[in-house]
Amino acid sequence: MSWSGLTAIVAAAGLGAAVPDAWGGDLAEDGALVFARACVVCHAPGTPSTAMLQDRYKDSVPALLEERTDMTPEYVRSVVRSWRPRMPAFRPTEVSDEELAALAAYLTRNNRPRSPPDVTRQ
Amino acid sequence: MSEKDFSAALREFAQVVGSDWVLSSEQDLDGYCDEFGPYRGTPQEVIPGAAVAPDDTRAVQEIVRIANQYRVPLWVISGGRNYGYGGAAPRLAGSVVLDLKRMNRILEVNEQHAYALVEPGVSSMDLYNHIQAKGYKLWMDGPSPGWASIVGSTLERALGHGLLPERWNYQCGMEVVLPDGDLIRTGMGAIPGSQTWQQYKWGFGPYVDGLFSQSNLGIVTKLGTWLMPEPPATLFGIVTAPRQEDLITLIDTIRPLRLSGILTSAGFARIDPQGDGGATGRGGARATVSIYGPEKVIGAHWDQVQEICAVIPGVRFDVERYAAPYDTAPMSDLNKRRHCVMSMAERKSWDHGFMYLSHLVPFDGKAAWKMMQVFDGIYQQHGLRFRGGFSTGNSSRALMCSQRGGFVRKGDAEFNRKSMDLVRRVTVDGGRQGYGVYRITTVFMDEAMAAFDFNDGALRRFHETLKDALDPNGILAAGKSGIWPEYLRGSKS
Repeated sequence: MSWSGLTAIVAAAGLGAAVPDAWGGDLAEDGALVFARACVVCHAPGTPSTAMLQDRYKDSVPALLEERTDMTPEYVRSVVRSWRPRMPAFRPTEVSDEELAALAAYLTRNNRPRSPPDVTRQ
Repeated sequence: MSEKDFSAALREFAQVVGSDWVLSSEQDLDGYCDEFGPYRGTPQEVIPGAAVAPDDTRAVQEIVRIANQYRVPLWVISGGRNYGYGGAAPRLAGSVVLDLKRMNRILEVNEQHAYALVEPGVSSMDLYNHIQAKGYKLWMDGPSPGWASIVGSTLERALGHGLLPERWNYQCGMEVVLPDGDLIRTGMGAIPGSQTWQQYKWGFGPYVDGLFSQSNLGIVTKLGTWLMPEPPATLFGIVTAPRQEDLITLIDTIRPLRLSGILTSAGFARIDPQGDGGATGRGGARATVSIYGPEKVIGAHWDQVQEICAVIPGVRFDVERYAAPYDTAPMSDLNKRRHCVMSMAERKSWDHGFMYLSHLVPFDGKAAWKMMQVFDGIYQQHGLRFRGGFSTGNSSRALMCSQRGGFVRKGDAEFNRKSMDLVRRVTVDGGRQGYGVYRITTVFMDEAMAAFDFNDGALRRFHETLKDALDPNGILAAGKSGIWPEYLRGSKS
């Protein structure tokens, strides 16, 4: 499916206006489309999956994945590709490696950049 | 098949689909397992050798020709989420999974004639979202959750929950790659330029679509499915009776309504184990009916249901009514399904696993009651009690008994062994008493098919005759529905 084919699905999911300024640039915007197609059905507000995450994390991290600021691209890739309790693995034919990279960029777009090491301290 | 031939086949697959879409790493193959099956993580687990993912029908044909050349066994998946029935895993270890998920085009949605033509990778959610985005006043139905492939779930004859529950009944026309790589279109689609491919099922001559359902005689690459215009109103009625034995009367009183066309959509009947004789409204037996159409018409139908069921002492009626435009957002998950809203809301616990069990019984109260007693006897021998209910789609004149058995616990071999014993006993002993399954996990397909043994297994022999003629090299989905290619027949079946 081409990227343009995802547009209608984004509109239906009501995410058209919610794509943030891309910390990752265009890749994160593309990742928003991937999220809308493959993830939002389970990870939208009010879904059983979001409720499960709320119960698991309490308030230590947001239950909504799009509000997380602590995930890494490696973690996102690992979760998507492996079987987890309550979440199946997504094959490359469902979320391609390219789409997964974009999704990881989107879900980590709000991460605070790490401070560079203080080289003045010896 | 030698390793040399297998490797050569994979190289040729890569020339067709690109090397990115020939998948063989350990992580890749982990996606083609039966995650919720009883053998997951055990030595008995069936592991594929690789996967190949084409993007179009031409590529599927090429892959099939290569598979024939090297005798590579293929196992076909559309969406690969056949949970409770085998998932994406093959029956024959080392098979190459032909993953059709990349073929995910919605080829047509025709609002005037209420149908869609889709490729195998299109899920129910995909089509539902597309219909919503376009603003079509069309409803579709399907199994939950909504990530199931429309093609896959239709070919499996899976059931929905609302207006068009028997999805197979609404299939109209398909395109199929045969095991030798040839390509056919069924029904009116065999006429080039036909405008009725998705409007008239039968075509001319033998009706062949059923050969590709729950089968390994061809690879469906396009499938037509009927949708329905949005109904002006909906009504969901619950008929509750105080005694569990009232189930017999409930079924028998609903049957004429079903036969006359007053009740046409999904309905369910079950006993309530916690029944208290109706004191708090929770009865010993309960039937739910879904009625769709103009408000006056469905109101009259519900009046008819109440009039006929009034013969049951202590019966009570509850009803919910809705009218277009439907605000489904605040509805319960059950009512969303009844309004044909595709969602992921209905998911079993994914911590462990399950093997679905569903048998057919006549639409007759005493027959249904007897079936429950028979199966309850088997469950009790396993320290359990029968829990289940009876459902009816709008084309079947039988009841389908879906049971809550066949649970799987990850990592608990002893529990899973007992669970498999239960499923095997219900399948085999149920078969001996005339109860066949409508669908079953790959683990028990041979046992399920063995029950269909009229005339010393004539139906199985017929399947095998077709298999040998269409797939002489036995490359396609070996073992699906108990149909094995000739070279494996002695050792596997």
